[in-house]
Formats: sequence, structure tokens, C-alpha cells
Amino acid sequence: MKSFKHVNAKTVNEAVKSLKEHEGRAKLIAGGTDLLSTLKDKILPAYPETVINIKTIPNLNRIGEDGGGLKIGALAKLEEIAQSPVVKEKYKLLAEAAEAVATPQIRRMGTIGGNLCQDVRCWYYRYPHSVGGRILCYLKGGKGCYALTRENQYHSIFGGLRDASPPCSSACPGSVDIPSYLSQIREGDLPEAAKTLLNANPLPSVTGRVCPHFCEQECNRGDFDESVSIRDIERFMGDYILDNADEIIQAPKADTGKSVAIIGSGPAGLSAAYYLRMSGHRVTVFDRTEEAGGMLAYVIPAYRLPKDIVRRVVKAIENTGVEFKLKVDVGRDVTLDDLKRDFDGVFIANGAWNPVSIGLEGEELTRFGMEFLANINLGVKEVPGKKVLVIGGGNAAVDVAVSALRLGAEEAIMACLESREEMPALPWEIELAVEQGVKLMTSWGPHRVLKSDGKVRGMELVRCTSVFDGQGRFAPTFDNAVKETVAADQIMMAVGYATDFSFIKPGSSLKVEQGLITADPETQATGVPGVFAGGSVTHGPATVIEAIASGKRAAAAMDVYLKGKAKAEDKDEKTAEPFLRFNSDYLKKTSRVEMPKLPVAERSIDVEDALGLGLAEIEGESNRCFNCGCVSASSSDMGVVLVALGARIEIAGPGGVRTVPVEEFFSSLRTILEADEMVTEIQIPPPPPGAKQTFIKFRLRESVDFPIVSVASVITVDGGICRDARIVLGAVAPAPVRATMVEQAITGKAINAKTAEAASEAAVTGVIPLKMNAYKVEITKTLVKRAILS
Amino acid sequence: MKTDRDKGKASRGVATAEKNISLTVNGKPYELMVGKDVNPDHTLAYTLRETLGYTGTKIACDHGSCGACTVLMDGEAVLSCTMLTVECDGKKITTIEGLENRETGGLHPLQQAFIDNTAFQCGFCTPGIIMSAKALLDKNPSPTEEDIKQELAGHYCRCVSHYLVVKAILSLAEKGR
Ligand SMILES: Cc1cc2nc3c(=O)[nH]c(=O)nc-3n(C[C@H](O)[C@H](O)[C@H](O)COP(=O)(O)OP(=O)(O)OC[C@H]3O[C@@H](n4cnc5c(N)ncnc54)[C@H](O)[C@@H]3O)c2cc1C
Ligand code: SF4
Ligand code: SF4
Ligand code: FES
Ligand code: FES
Repeated sequence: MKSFKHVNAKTVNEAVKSLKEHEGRAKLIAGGTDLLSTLKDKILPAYPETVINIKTIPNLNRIGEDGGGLKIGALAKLEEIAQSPVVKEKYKLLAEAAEAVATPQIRRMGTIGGNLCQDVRCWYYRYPHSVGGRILCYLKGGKGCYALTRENQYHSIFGGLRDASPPCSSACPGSVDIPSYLSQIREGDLPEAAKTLLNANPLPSVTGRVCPHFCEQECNRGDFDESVSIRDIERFMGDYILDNADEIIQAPKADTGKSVAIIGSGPAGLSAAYYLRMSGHRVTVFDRTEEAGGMLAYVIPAYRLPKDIVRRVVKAIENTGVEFKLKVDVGRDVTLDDLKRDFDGVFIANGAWNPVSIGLEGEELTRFGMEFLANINLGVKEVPGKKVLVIGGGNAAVDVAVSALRLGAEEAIMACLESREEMPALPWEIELAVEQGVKLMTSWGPHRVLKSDGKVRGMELVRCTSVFDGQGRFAPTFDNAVKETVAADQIMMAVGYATDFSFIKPGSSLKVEQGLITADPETQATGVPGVFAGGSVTHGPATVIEAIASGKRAAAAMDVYLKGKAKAEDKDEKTAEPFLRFNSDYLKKTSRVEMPKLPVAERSIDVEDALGLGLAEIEGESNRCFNCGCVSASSSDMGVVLVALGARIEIAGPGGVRTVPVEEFFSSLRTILEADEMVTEIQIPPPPPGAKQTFIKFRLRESVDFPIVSVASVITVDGGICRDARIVLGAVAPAPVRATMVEQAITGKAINAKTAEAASEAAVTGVIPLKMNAYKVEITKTLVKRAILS
Repeated sequence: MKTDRDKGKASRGVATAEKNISLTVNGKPYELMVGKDVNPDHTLAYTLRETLGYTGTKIACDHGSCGACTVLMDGEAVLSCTMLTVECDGKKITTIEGLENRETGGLHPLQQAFIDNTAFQCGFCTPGIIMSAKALLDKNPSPTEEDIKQELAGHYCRCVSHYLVVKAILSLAEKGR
């Protein structure tokens, strides 16, 4: 084991206080039979700095009845529970389960508290070495779950549970809860799916078209066959939202009376406007352009993002009560100080629109690519030149080059410093450009513009030998001896864009560094009270979803600022959530759906290339999502019988003591216990007098093993008829599950083979076995039958 | 070994474990200083084998699932691999080395019974099994076959000597009757 400090707690308070002070870097030790294993194999997310012994707390091992039923202290050993006369007499189920745990030695050492809090018993997670070394599964912060497709006897047949977000959502700058809305689509609930999506991204019809889909690159399904086509589903949902905007995007119910000015109507501004409005603030968006949308309206080519979509998005936001003041130049028509005076808060999101100069000889004769794109969107659709040379290797350069060809240029060449692999443009964007006929000249640096009669004739380029230095910083080196001349009558520069701060008066307290406004990365606050900034002005040119995310962060922080208090965090009122469902055919290898596109020859400057998918197709694609989570089954035998007995768990924390039903205790992976809480007592109401209590545990070796399936039942039978039943399944789901369908199937019925047969079928409604554990379905049915007939 | 300064030192609000651990192993007292002779992360099995030299105690799985490391602690069979030495202060431990007759150096009747019944092959699991059997017989001198099987459920024998183990213990149990 790695070293740790060891302390003895003398009271519950001392233990809890110490846990709190360690902020997650301490672990309690009771019997140690589980904890020491996890330490030896270093499987916990963080190795504890301190181990707090709670065996030194007196009186925490009592077992006794009072008026309300049986109380068992967390430190009661399993053997003591199994041998306790009162338990054996009235709470037989408990004694049987305790007796069935592990071995006599473990039962003499292990406590009931430790049994309930034991760590996940997935063999991949616990014994990575036995399956070929270090495994970084989902639960350890890695990507995939190993149990989905491999040996999985200790795993769920009822779906998984999540603790952190899955890889797709983690990769999304907007943290869209992807698997949840895909689940809602699978369930046929498009309005709910729309809500989930809008919670993180108010512009899905836009990102569904132009996002570089960071999520898909990380999708676990990609390791299996092909990643889920998340962006195409998002596009469908975005359009669905626009088609039903009146119902889905509604004005807030109440106004807060606070007002916000937003400078810039691009994705950051629109996102902040949407969320601030949803919180009930009055929002006014200023932009100097004629149409709202910023980059979305003016820079991104219409063949990728139709302008009608942008207009509909803006309209939907406007319909919630957001006011757009267009053709107002902040700095000229109205000052920042005016806005600060007239509004309760200001959000600066005016983007980055200015050309950057690279100090090239003859640069004044070149054209700024972004201005070219903006002009197209303003309706100027003239041939930009016969031979167009585009300088730059990013997505903007691709847009410029492709647009030039589509407007009638005979030739478009993209020249960039980077090699093809290093090019900042996304690989599929580059492919698109090549498909369109754009020629690539990689590893060339612009040297000087060739001209005659004041007109561009071409450019001299020199070999770029490397773009980045050893530290990965941009520091291009050239070999001036290797030259190349390219003839061109138009040169477009797409090497970046700069921010414009002319509206910030000298002496303003707004901090600007290296051409960007300094803002807190979590709240987007600028340091000037009430003034926030986001989007390209704070992080430089980036993607639409990054701008949206910063707008959302700003809106959340501004909401707190405007209301003068933090929103009361909805503190863990966790009810048992259903387990994560996925399509039971999830393991059939399938291809991702392909977005149909116009044939290359038919593509134009203002008609969208991508044709979109239908409902059936996106439903099919949603079916491919694994709904990633951990599918390890709960292993605590005590947990299963305690649910059957309707027990509650007493938990002590820094704030005092709370009690929760056992079902709720298990509703999260690794239980709902916070890092600074401990279990102190288990409270068990008396079972109905005369009820038949049965615990059946199926395992490989009777002498030691964990359950493959277990069933605990408390059944009251009167005159051969079942009057009341509580039946719980263990080891088949991430938590013990009440088999309510079974309970319903037998209550009021005569207990006989026929009833048991029907009940056993009911027990497995909705199973989704994993690739190799379908046999657990049959075992479950058999055990349920036996429990009923025993 | 112990200084006053150590005594008063508290870590994050909770008194640290006693700095000296007293253990009695097979009747012999030991004072172990934490930080020097034992670390908080040492298991009892480790201390017995590596620090005190009682290598009769075996470690096989090191995870509580095979019983090889079983020793007696205040008369009860426990798994020494799954227990921290710093939590054993004041305990009386008996290991397989403690079973011999101190005067004659002769084998304990249990050990003899195992030999007589050839109740092992490689013998790796044997010390642990004998310690569990000892605890059982001390409490119940005439256990039934079922009692024996129950009590030994936590012992794993790779060489499959289980049947002969039960026979060996039964031979003593019958003497007890
Ligand atoms: C070989 C083997 C077989 C097993 N087979 C089974 C089986 O078939 N069925 C079964 O149900 N279990 C089985 N177990 C698990 C066993 O029941 C647990 O290891 C034991 O009950 C844990 O108790 P402990 O006091 O030793 O816990 P510890 O190891 O001390 O603690 C376990 C975890 O719970 C935390 N913890 C302990 N007490 C508290 C508390 N009061 N409040 C909050 N957190 C606490 C600890 O920090 C730790 O994370 C098996 C274990 C082994 C080693
Ligand atoms: S079941 Fe859970 S613990 Fe096991 S491999 Fe999958 S994610 Fe990891
Ligand atoms: S399979 Fe689903 S949940 Fe898993 S990473 Fe892919 S989209 Fe996300
Ligand atoms: S080594 Fe201790 S139980 Fe296996
Ligand atoms: S005799 Fe070899 S392991 Fe038991």
C-alpha cells in the first residue's frame, strides 16, 4: 500500500469533522475488509491522505429493538447480526443475508456500515491486473465500460448508472447532456428532448450544422463501430425546435425588473440573451449590423448555414421578449458608459471582426477574407477573380476558397504554413474543399505580393520548414532558398481576425491584454462591477459552441449578480432515478447514418449542401447510443434485504443527521453519501407479523462468492392468498431493485405455481442484458419463483 | 522511543494513533514504534512476516478471500492481510509458530493430525487452516463435520486437500467427545 496517515476517531463528530477537513482526501475504515483491498490495488479515484479509524467510536455496534423497530449501529459486525437472538427471531431475513456474506473471518471483521458502503464490485474495476493491466474504465474517469461486451457475471441486466458525465458530454464545450436527450428521442418524447438540449445550447439548429462535433470524436461507440452521429441528430432537433418555437421557447412567467444590455448579436450574445431572458430579465441586444447573428449571419457561408435559419433563431429569441437594437454602433451611437448607466448589467460580446496584418510586402493589395464572406452574405455575388489565392489553413480559409470557386473563380488555391496534418482546418472541411476543387499548397509561407500596374499578379512563397517550436508555440521558420511563384489575380488573407476595442475609452477600468478582454473563465466577469464579457473578445476566435457556452456562463453569473444572491442550489433531493436505458440491439454492429448532400456539381453559394435527416433516421441513430454509464451490479447482500424490510439509513454529516430510505441511499453509483458523511445507524421497522421472509442468493462457490443474483422477499399470506409483498432483486442492477411488477402480480392472488410463473415473467420486464449475461435473466426468474413458493 | 512531543501531536482535529503499538505474539511481548518499526499502511500479515519474522503466516491473495493469512487474535481467527497493525495495539496474536509445545518443542496435536491424515500437499494454505481449526476446537472441542465445513469456508486450498483437512480435524473432534 502507498502510505497514509492513520487517525482514531473517538466520536462520530470527530470522524465527520476530520472528513470535512480533508475535503475528499480521507477515507473511513471500519472492518477494513473492503477498504484495504481498494488501497492495495489503488483503485479509488484519489488515494486517501488519511485513513480515519471509526472502530474506536464507542456504542456504534449496538443491536437492539425499541418502539420503532430494530436499530443496528453501523459498526455492528455481520457475524454479530447473524447471531443476534432478536434478529434471528423477528428479522430473519437480515440474519440470513449476514450469514451468506463472504466467509466466517470476513463476517467477524466486516461491519454492516462497511457492507453498505463497499466500493463497486466490477471485476474490471477491482482487478485490472487480471484482465491485462491498467484499465481506465468509465468509472475511473476513462472512456468505455469494459463489461458491456466482455465477461460480466457481476453486472447489471437492467441498465447502468452515471456518476460523472459521459465522454461525449465532457468533450462538448457546452456540456450538452447528449445521452439524456437521445434517450428522450428513443422514448418518442421530442418536446422533452428539446428541453434537455436547450438547457445547454439555445442554438441547436446552428451548431447542428456548423459545430466541429467535439462530442463525436470522443463517443464510445466509435471504439465499437462508428460514433453516434450526434450533430446530425442535433440539427434535426434544432429544426424541430424552430418549427415548434411557439410552444417550446416561451417568454418567462415573471419579470425580475432588472435590465441587461448585450453588445453583439453573435452566438455568445444570443446565448446570453436567451438565458438571461429565461431568468426573467429584460434584455436588449445592440449590434451595428442590419441583421442580428454576427458571424452566423455574415461570415459562415449560406451553403453551410442558411440565413433563413439564423433569422428564425433570432425571431424565436425575440419572441420571448428580447429587444434587438440593430444598426446601433456602440462607441459611436451610444457609449459603454451610457449602457452602464441605463442598464443593470452589460455583456460585451462584439466578437473579432478586424483584419490582422502580417506585414507582407504588397499586403495592401490583398483582400481580407472575412470581408469577402460578409459581402457575399450581404448579397454581393460577383466573381472575386479568375485565379484566387487564399492564404491560411484554417476553416475560414476553406470557406473563402470554396466560396470563391462557387462564385465562379476558375481556380482557388489555399496556401498555408502548416503541413496537411498540422492544418488547423478540420479534416472533413479540408476534404470538402478538395472535393470542390480547391488546390492545397501546404508548408509554404507568403513572401511578397507580385504586382504590376498596381494590380496583383501573384505571390512569391518560400518553404516553411517548421511552424511550431519545441514547446509547441507558433514560431515559423523558413528556407528562403526554396521559392515558388503562384500566379493569381486575387489574394485573400484568412490568417485570423482581431478584436475591436474602439468603444472602450482610454482610462477605462476594463482590462485588455493581448487584444482580448480579461474575464474570469468561470463567470466571464471583467472585474468592473456588472460588466461581463464573452465570446471571441475574451478567448479569441473559436467555435460557435464555445461562444455559446461563454454566453451561458455569463448569463448564469449575471443572474446571480442581478438578483443579488446565489441561486439556492437544488441540494440533493435525489429520488431514485431509473437506470440508464439503451436499445437492446445496441451490440449489433451498425454504421452511422450518413447525411445526404447535394452532388458536388449542384452545390452553390447560397443553397445548403446538407439535405437533413428525417425523424425515422434520427430515431435509428439515437438507438445506437450506449447511454454510457457504469453497469456494475450492486453487491451488498445487506442492502437487498434492507430494501425488502423497508429500512432507513441514518447518516451523520457536518450539518447534522439525516435519514434516508435504503433505496435512495443506493440511487447513485457508490451511494449518495457525500465525502464528509458517514453512516451511523440502520433503522428497520418491524416486518408484518407472520410475514414469510426469504433470502435466496445464487453464487458460484457457496463458501465465499458474491451474488450473481439474489432475491429477498417479505410476503404476507393469509388463507393461501398473498395479502402483501415486498420483493427485491439484488446483483442485477446498479442498486437493489424493488420488483414492483412482481409484487403486483402476486398480491391478492393464491400462491401457487401459476402465480409464481407469472410473477417470474413480471420480474424481468424491461431487462437489457449485456452481451454475455443473458443467463442472469433466467436465474432471476427461477429465484423469484422459488422465493414465492418457498 | 516515544517523546512527549509525539504524544501531543494531533492531526487535523483527531488525535493520532498511539505512537507505540504493543503486541504479544505467541506469548512474546513487542513494542513497535509507528514510523519506525511499523507504518500506518502495514498490514498485520506484513508486520508478522517482514518485521517480526513469523513467516509461518502466509500471504496468498492479500485480499481477504483465501484464508492463508489467518492468525488468532485474542483467540479469534482473523485475516491478518486485511487488518492494519496500527489497529492491533494491545492484542494477543497466535501464529502457527506458537502452536508447538514450548517445553518439548513437539508438534501440536492439530499439526500431528494433519500429518497423520496427509491433509496437505504443497502446504501453503495449511498454517491458516490450522489456525482456524484451533479457534474452532478451542470454542467447541467436539464440532460436527458440518461445523468444521462452516468454519473453514473461508479457506482456499489450491491442492484440493479439503476432504483430508476435514478428516484430520474430525479425528481430534472425536477425541474431544
Ligand atoms: C472475499 C470477500 C467476499 C465478500 N463477499 C461478499 C458477499 O458475498 N456479499 C456482500 O454483501 N459482501 C461481500 N463482501 C464484502 C464485505 O461484506 C465487505 O467487505 C464488508 O462488509 C465491509 O465491511 P468493513 O467494515 O470491513 O468495511 P471497510 O472495508 O472498513 O469499509 C468499506 C468502505 O465503506 C466505508 N465505510 C465503512 N464504514 C462506514 C460508515 N459507517 N459510514 C460511511 N462509510 C463507511 C469505508 O470508507 C470504505 O470505503 C466480501 C468481501 C470479501 C473480502
Ligand atoms: S461496469 Fe463500471 S466499473 Fe466495470 S468496467 Fe464498466 S464502468 Fe468500469
Ligand atoms: S455512446 Fe452515447 S453516451 Fe456514449 S459517448 Fe457516444 S453519444 Fe455519448
Ligand atoms: S492472504 Fe489473507 S485472505 Fe488470502
Ligand atoms: S495444500 Fe497446497 S494450497 Fe492447500
